[in-house]
Amino acid sequence: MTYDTTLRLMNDAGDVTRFVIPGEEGYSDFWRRDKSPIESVELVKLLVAIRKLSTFIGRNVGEIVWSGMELDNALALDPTPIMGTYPVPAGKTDLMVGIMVQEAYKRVEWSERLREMLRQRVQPPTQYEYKFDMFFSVCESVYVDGLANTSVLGYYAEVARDWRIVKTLKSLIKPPTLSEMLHLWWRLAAHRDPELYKHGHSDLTLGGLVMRGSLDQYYRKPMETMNSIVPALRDDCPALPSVSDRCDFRLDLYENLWREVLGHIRFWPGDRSDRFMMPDMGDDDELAQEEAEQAAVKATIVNYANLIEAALPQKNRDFTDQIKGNVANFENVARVEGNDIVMLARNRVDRQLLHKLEQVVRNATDRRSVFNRGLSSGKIHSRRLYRAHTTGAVFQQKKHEFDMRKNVVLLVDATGSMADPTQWDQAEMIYQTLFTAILEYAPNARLFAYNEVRNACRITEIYRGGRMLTVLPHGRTASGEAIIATAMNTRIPGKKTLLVHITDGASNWGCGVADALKYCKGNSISLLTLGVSCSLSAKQSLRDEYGSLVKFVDKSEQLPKLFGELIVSEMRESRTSQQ
Amino acid sequence: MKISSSANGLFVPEVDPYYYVSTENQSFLDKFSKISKKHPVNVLVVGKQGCGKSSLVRQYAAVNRLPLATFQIGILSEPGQLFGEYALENGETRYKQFLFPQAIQTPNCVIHLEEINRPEHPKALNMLFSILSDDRQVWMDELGLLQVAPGVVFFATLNEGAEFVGTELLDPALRDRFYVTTMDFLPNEVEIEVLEKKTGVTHEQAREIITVANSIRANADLGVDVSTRKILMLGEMIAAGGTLREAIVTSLQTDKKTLESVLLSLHVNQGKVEKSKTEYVQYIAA
Repeated sequence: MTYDTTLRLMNDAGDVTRFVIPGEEGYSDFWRRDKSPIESVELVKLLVAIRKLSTFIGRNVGEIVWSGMELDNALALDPTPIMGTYPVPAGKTDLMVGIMVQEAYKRVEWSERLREMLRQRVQPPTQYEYKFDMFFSVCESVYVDGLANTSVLGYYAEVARDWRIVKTLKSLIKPPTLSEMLHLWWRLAAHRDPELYKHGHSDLTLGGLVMRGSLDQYYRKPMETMNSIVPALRDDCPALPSVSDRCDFRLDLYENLWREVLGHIRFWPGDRSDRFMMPDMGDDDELAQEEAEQAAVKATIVNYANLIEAALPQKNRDFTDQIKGNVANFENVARVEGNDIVMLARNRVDRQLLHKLEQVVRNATDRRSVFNRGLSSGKIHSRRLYRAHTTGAVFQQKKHEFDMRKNVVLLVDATGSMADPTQWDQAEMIYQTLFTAILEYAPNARLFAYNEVRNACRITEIYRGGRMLTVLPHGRTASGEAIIATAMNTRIPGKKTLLVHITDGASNWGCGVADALKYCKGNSISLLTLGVSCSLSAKQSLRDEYGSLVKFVDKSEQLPKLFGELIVSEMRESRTSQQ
Repeated sequence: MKISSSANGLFVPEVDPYYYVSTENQSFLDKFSKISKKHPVNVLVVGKQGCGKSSLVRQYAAVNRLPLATFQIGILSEPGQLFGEYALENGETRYKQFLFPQAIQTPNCVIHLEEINRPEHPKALNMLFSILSDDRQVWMDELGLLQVAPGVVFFATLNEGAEFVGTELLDPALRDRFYVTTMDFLPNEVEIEVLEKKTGVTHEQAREIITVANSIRANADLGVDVSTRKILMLGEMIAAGGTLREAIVTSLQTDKKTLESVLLSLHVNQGKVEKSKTEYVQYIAA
């Protein structure tokens, strides 16, 4: 669903001199860089940007999705208002960010829980329930907008507030209505000018003065009552240290206010949807059209849902079923999931060791000569000498490139047995140094670690965007599952995979390593295992599990020689299997 | 920067009046200068990208009124490439000598080997070994015996801090031939002074640039290094009438996603606000 709303300014010759995109002006233009003119891609990029921004609000905002995408307990945002022009103009981005800011703050401040607590306490009679919900929603909106106003997020909340108020006021019925009064109060009480609400509301529109009479006669008193809580909402409540204290504070505040305000608004309708005060007028055309538009947008999002979810950064992806389908011993398979909670790693690369390892890894590479021919100087290229008297371009430059020509993956055991600081330091030094050496000749090499968190084997990529990351060593060792999951999800069609597994002992959880070895053998994956800081019994167990493709590193200086031997064995085995 | 010509085609650079070093480095440079009076000397300057290593070499040459020749090691893929190569001249193949042989035979010349750890091929540096050793000479079939002239100082610069990006390490045998001095970014007060004087921004603008740079440096999650060179680029953009956002967008040299995170962090944590819009116009005249 793309609409062309671009304005074109033309000169006398009929050439377009300027394209103006309505709604382009906005605060988000300051930071938003990652955009796309393609609807589905733009929706992903915008969602990622909104998620990034939500991290500034609080830890328990939860996952944010577009409504239509399936995710339990997620904060679902309706993209209807921003769809149509791509990339989404800054003004519309501001609106969506503002809606997210308001909803995210409500989550962080336990608004829904507070609504139920207040409902329990005031027990609104059935005919006032609709009004009660409206009252509570606007009070909480004033509170969260006040929180947003302490930072630049207030600008976005203001955009969302204005949009909501205009939308509501457009569909008003004859005053007085609770909806109009509350929304007029919201505009004043949540304004970034903290003194504005004290001046009260004045209806200065011509329509207000001539057509409907001034609204002040109805709204002045209830709005003064509502104003009484503004300082407490804006200053006292946010100053309380814990979220439960802030909830209790607002509970008392709203309870007293509700009882006071109810006297003023008891006989007003809430709005056109207040079935206790308004006769059912049937769905008018405007509402029906709006609903149809929303339904169309929702259908678009549902169509894109899989596409968007696939394009979003993966979080805690579950590999368990995938693994169960590839092992005989499937009853014992431990739950396996992806993970992206990481810490930055300290640099533990040992330079001397790296230098030696680079030479070892280079022995396992294929040399490729790259020629730059037809140059006017350099080394003579004899086959081009015939050009000497015409172009003179008879020289060449030769460059050697070394490439492992394999898909190389390192998998590090970061389970409980590695948790001893000295041992983990050594493991970090070994895997960082080895991986850095491999990266020199296999630029697409990948590095993973596995540990146990909450009864699941978690697999984390710990080299991303040119940076080494780390996880906390913890839990039981499900080497079999980790090897299969890593192998399955890093395969590149048409390329042999070399999987280097660094561990300190045998698997003690899950389906065991036998199935993993079988999987690797059946899928042309060479599995090499490096035992680090192993006890005698651990060495024996690993020998039993991995046979000739395991080597034990007792001292780091042995690593180049042992890794070299492993690579040689792997190359020999590869040749044998090819023959 | 202005440079003045010297007799043999090499140049003595002009002194930069706003170049600052720590007293320790100043003392080191003074000692290197004294040693070079006795015999040629090799100095390896190590530091993060953009911290002023190349400027240090240029300033050393300028302060001591010595000719300077700079060579990019990153482009070398074969031994001997620094010295010259064959080319056609009037229908004949001749060996064309480059500036390097001339530079090493020029007394008191400062030779800057830029990014010595990044040759295209490790063997490309083999010819340097004997030049940098106590022999200070090398035989080449095309040029005969080349001897390093008295007073020559070899400065090699090496970027550190990018260990995880596959930067080739310096061969220990080569590293062994150098005195090593390390450099770091300047303290904020010095950076502000340099920014004001070199780019023409106001004191307030300079302070704001440093505040922004520090907030980016402090955020380890972003993984963006803001070097002194980048700070000067930010200053130049702002002095040319650009906004802080425009300066950051053009100077940080990072991917779109990281740039978005940097700008978001400044927007929310530092309260930087700039309401703007993009339109598309014909670009047919200046």
